[in-house]
Amino acid sequence: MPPKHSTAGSRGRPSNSVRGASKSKASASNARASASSRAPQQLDSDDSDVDPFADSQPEQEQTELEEVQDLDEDEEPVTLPPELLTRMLHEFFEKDDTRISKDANKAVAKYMDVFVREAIARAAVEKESGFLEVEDLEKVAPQLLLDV
Amino acid sequence: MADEPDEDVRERLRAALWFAVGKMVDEESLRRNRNVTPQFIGALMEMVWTHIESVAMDLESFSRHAGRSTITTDDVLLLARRNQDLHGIIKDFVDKEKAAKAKGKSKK
Repeated sequence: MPPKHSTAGSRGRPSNSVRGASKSKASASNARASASSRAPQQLDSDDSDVDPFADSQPEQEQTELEEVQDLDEDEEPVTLPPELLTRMLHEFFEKDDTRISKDANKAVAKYMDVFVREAIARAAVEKESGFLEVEDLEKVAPQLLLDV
Repeated sequence: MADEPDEDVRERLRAALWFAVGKMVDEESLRRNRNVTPQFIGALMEMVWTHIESVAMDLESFSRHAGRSTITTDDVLLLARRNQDLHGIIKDFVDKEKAAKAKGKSKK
């Protein structure tokens, strides 16, 4: 059985998605600014970001709206929504009583985040200029799947 | 969940995943100053979907093997056992989360 809040989450998504799309433009510029200093920022975040992150953790259970606001503060780059991931994992579990802890769910979200970014990075290296196409993904997919 | 047809649920999950992957690709392509075709996003989403499926079944097996029915962070770390760098990233992330949680608790 999926967690109780996940049903509300999946219904809320379409309405939030419009909001998210418009806001993503704003956060995208933030993302670009933070992107250049991404590595050092992550090092700093070890101690300086701990407090806001710890405070926001209990709130994450409530609504997805707050998650969108979190993006605006560009603490963390965009990642797979944890609620969506929970739903998907439960969809694929073979036994109904399998559960996943919140921390583990977040860790899987991080794992998939690395996966997606690695796929784009490899495709981008494969093709030096122009649009990234399906073919470029096809070229890097076999090795990528062996490496995760 | 059971009262809805399986296919319908999956279709909606795929749509949600498509959107989420699309956002990540948008961010990444802005950062790299590259353009991405919509087909690329679709194909990537398909890869992520399939990968999540295999990840879900792996995690389930790992936790069952440990005699648990709840998946913990240890299972996720085991998932990344083959790639030292990836393992390091996930381990750092998990440790950071734990530290943040411990700090948050002691505050309250």
